[in-house]
Amino acid sequence: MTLLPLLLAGCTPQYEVLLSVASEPPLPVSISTDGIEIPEGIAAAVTAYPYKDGEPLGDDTEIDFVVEGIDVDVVDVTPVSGAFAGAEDADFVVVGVSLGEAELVPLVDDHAAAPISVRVVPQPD
Amino acid sequence: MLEGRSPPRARRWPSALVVASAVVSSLACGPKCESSPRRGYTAGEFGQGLFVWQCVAPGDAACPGDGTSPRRFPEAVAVGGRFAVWYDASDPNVSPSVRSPTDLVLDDRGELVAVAPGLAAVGAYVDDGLYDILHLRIVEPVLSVYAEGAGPLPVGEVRTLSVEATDGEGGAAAGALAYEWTASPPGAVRLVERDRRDRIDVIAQQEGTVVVTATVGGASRGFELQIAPGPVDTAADTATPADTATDTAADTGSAP
Repeated sequence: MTLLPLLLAGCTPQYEVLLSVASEPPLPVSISTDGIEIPEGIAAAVTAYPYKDGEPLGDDTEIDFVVEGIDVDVVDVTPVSGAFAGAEDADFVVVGVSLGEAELVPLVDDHAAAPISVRVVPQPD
Repeated sequence: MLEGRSPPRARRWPSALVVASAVVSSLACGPKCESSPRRGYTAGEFGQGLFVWQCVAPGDAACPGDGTSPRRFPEAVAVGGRFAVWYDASDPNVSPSVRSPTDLVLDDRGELVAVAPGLAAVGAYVDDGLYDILHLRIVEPVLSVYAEGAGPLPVGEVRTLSVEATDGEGGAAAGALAYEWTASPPGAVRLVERDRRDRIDVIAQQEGTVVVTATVGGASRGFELQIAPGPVDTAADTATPADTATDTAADTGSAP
């Protein structure tokens, strides 16, 4: 019985997307194992690194994001267009639209990857 | 999940190089900027062009002169301030449109309105995504009211008051603000609106002290005016003895 889930898991590729902040937003944007914490009103460019079964995927991998949760309007994720002049390549801009929580579900070549929780928090006084 | 591995594509540049890149990008419009010098612009945070401030109505503290030309890109925007920002891309083939992705700034018929204090991103968008961003600092405005002229205002005379919005730290708080003007006591003066909301003509009507107050959102500032008696009418002065004489005559019953 205990082997069955492992065997099934072994049959299904596990996708994952790691994110890192590529711009210098005026307030700190935290990306950790707990997810993303971004202040309301702030936009941060992020670089997305796709993995399949723990192995990094190439640059030609298609990545997209779907926002899920009770209030999908609290966060916005938009692709970066043009020649971003930051410290790293940037793929997306994450925006804290309004206070609340949601989940980002990455799509790696149309495969759903592990969801990333997002908390949009108040700006410090 | 998100950290603990080395990202395979990370390329860290020295921070000085990033700054240099932004500076180069801010100057990238070259001849185009030389042919149409603008002062109200600032470089986008992605280094792909310039965000340009546009005053949409007189009374924007960013455009103190003719009310339409920004002196420079404002460092702060007042809550309630209405304005426009357009984007000049370094790539002449790109024409992004600027809009707000957050609830701190609202899009309203092609203009932007700051609705809450804080740092707020505005974005330069193209069809396939976000081309550049900029964070605005939005503040609750601190108002100051000034008068053109000094001393008591005689009844019947006019004095213009103007209001300025600042960020409370000495800088201007930009954006056109819809000021409301009131006077207390209300009958002491008549307030006549001008063609711009940051100024009001005050016509003195009753001798005494009056406070004229400018209000926008939760901010207000009063200005105390002393109303003096009106100028003495020379013709009336001349007539006064005769009137008195007549009255006296009436009192004595000697009138015809």
